[in-house]
Amino acid sequence: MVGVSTAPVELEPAVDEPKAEFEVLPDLPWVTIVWNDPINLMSYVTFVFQDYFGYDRAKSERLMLQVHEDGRATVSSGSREEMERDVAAMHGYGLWATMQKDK
Amino acid sequence: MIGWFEPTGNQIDVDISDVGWRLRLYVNDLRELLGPAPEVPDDAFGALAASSSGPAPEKPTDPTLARLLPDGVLDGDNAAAEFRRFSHDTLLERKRADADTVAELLEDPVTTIDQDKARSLLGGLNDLRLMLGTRLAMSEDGPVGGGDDLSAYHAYEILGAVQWELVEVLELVRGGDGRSEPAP
Repeated sequence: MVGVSTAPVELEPAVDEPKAEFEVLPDLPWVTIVWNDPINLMSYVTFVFQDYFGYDRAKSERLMLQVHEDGRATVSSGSREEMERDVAAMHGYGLWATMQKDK
Repeated sequence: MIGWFEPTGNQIDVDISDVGWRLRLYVNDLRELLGPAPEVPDDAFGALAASSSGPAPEKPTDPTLARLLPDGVLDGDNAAAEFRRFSHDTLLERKRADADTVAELLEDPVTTIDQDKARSLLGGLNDLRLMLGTRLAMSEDGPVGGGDDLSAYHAYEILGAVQWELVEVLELVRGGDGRSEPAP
């Protein structure tokens, strides 16, 4: 029998292991949620998403429909300060928005 | 297009003379609801002190005003109060400016406005609809209560049509065709 090593191969997993420790979590712990209301026009809500966030028409319409059908949609994420700005801006346009920590 | 707004280069021609009588009363209501702008202290120090001290503004008890100036955080009174503390004045200032824009245009209903003015008009029209819609207790299917106020209901419907057209025209003007034309 030719000498085939039966020693367990340990090196490779050991090299990979520390990766988890250095994994960088995305620094986007806060989100802005827009809530449905029966008053705001659908075309206006779509316009606001395009105008303020710079989203294209397709994405803005998708988010608007989500608000309309599901009652709410997450429209942006970022730092707490950024979300404070976004929520305040939505209120400026007359949309009801709240911020919360992403779960 | 019904013809309250027409794109002209990167600006918008306005003629809302036929709807003024329906809206004027409610614009005044909205301005009263928002209240007068606070007096600005003469010196910079006074202005700074006025803006950064004092308790957080209370959530409005009037349901219409509460809809215009809603909570920005759902859980936790402290967080909601903190949000209100930093956003309230700026938000109220914008609402007042937008309501003023609507009032101005009702006084001068045949004119040409730039995109910033159009955005302010759009915001003011929306706030008016929010005010009337809240009063009429609008649901997805129409007014739930207070639907006997026909005047308010007509104004609400007209505002929807005017606002809808303004969104269409603003999108056209914003879209690039108008923007690329040289300013007159």
